[in-house]
Amino acid sequence: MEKPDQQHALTVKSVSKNFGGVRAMRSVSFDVPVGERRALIGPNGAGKTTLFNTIAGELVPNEGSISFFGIDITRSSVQKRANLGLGRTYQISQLFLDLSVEENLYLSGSGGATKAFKFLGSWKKNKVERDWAQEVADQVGLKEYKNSTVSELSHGLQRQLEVGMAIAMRPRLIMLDEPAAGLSPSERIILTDLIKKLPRDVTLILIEHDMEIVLDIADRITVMYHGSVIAEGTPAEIRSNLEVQKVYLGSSYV
Amino acid sequence: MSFMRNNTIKSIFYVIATILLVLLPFYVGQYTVTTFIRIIYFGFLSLSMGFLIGQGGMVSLTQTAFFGLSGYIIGLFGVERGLIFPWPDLMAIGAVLILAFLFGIIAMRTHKIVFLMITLAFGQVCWAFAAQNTTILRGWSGIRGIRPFVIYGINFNEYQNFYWASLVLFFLSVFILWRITKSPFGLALNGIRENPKRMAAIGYPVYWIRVVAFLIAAVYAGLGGILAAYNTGIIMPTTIQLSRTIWVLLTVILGGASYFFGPIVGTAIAVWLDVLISGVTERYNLVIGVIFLLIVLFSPTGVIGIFDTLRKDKKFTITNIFSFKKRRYIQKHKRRW
Repeated sequence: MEKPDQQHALTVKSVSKNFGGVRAMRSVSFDVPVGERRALIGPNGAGKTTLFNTIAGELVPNEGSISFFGIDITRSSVQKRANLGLGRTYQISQLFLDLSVEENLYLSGSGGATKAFKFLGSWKKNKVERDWAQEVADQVGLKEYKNSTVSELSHGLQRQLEVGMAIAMRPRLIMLDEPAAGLSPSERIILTDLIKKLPRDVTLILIEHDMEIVLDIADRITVMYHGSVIAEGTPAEIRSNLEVQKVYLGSSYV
Repeated sequence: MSFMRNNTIKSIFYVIATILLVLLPFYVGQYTVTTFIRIIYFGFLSLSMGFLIGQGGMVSLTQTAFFGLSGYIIGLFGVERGLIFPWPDLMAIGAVLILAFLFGIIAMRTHKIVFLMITLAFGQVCWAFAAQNTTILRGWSGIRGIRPFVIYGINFNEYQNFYWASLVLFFLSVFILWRITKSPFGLALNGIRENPKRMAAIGYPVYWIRVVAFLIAAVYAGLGGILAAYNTGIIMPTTIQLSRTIWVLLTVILGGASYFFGPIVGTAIAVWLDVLISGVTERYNLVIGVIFLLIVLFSPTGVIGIFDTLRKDKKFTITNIFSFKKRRYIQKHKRRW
């Protein structure tokens, strides 16, 4: 038996996932040390989001195991993983559209199993949780939109809130699935700053196609192609890796 | 502050409405009071369905079965076994909770259209059981002779007393449910309505929250069923047939499913339309259908939705016609009510 591994926030061991005959992930293995900022890149259909959903618990892998801070979570429910401190965002925003920004962040900030079953007293009286929602709103640049209904926010602000939802959970590991998808260049800058300002002790895994953001944020990069990890290393190593250049980066980054 | 003035007008309106309701038996006849009792017990049922739809996004067609179940328990234990108040009533609520839990742990594994179908099946199973069980539930003829009780010298067989008792119970229950919708639990339920996937991803026990919401709603249907059994004196399979469930669903939509008070307003309108139009023509269902169609066509958010739109519209507002601040406030913070 191995001892619980406290050095690694996440350990993925030879995980495979098939959808019928399609092999979305073939024996993917990698470790993320605590506090590292890891980027996950690869062309469309490489299996990045499948890997994310497997780690977050929305998909169960056919083979392999996943441990989170030394705890085996391969078959745990989504809710249990969240309560262990695993926060994620989605490629397509999954927000509570008919609720206000504050309500969204409040819900995210008080997601423990016991906190939902309180029937008496308005949630607005819970000062601690509301202050925290306010703090996160400030942090992700949604200060003046606190009372706005989410469906009325622009796409860029919704993406900021999407990241805020993950931050509000106070996670130990935060997984961002293409946080900058569909954003304008100026909105990308706001979002990149926001991610860079996250506390350093929070481990971060990022899927992103925008190489500028990736090179700006990531300590290390993992490259996936056709469901397998083909390379892993520092940004400089990845840039000079010939195989990666062939499948993904293109000539401008050589 | 214009906002405060608006609140004052609102509270004055509620106080007057409450006084008028409490004093009702003094200035109208028995028929009108009985109609209000009908509004109250169907209001419970409608509120039960409306709570699940509006707060939790769950369209359940089982609620009428809980309404009927508590009636049958009152009939079985109150009339046939002769138990006295409050035992049949407590047993009714207990039975409703047990049945709702059994249905809930199965139904809450599903979402949306599958949930609708499975709750429809549960409702129909209950109806078919009630209709076919002749030994205990007396089949189609049902259980007759249910009478309210006399307690502390107050005879609830008198319609005025029964009306007041129902009204107090209704006010209390509505207040409690309203508080629940504002509580952390209510907000979590709203989150599940909006996006159950995200609720799980941020660590909420989605399944159990939905089960508990189903139990709460079932208790409200059960309370309505108790009042209905006492008031009509009879419980039979037609009480829980599908057309009743659909009628309740219509009242929820008529009043405005997304508003807390929508189901109550919808029930009041639907019951009074039944009474008024059935006095004029035998084809009253046709007229009611057309009225329902018109309201839903022009205001998908129901009757309360119409008023809500008017309230937000500068031209039609009464309380904030002179107030620029209020108008800005509404535009900035679009709230549901």
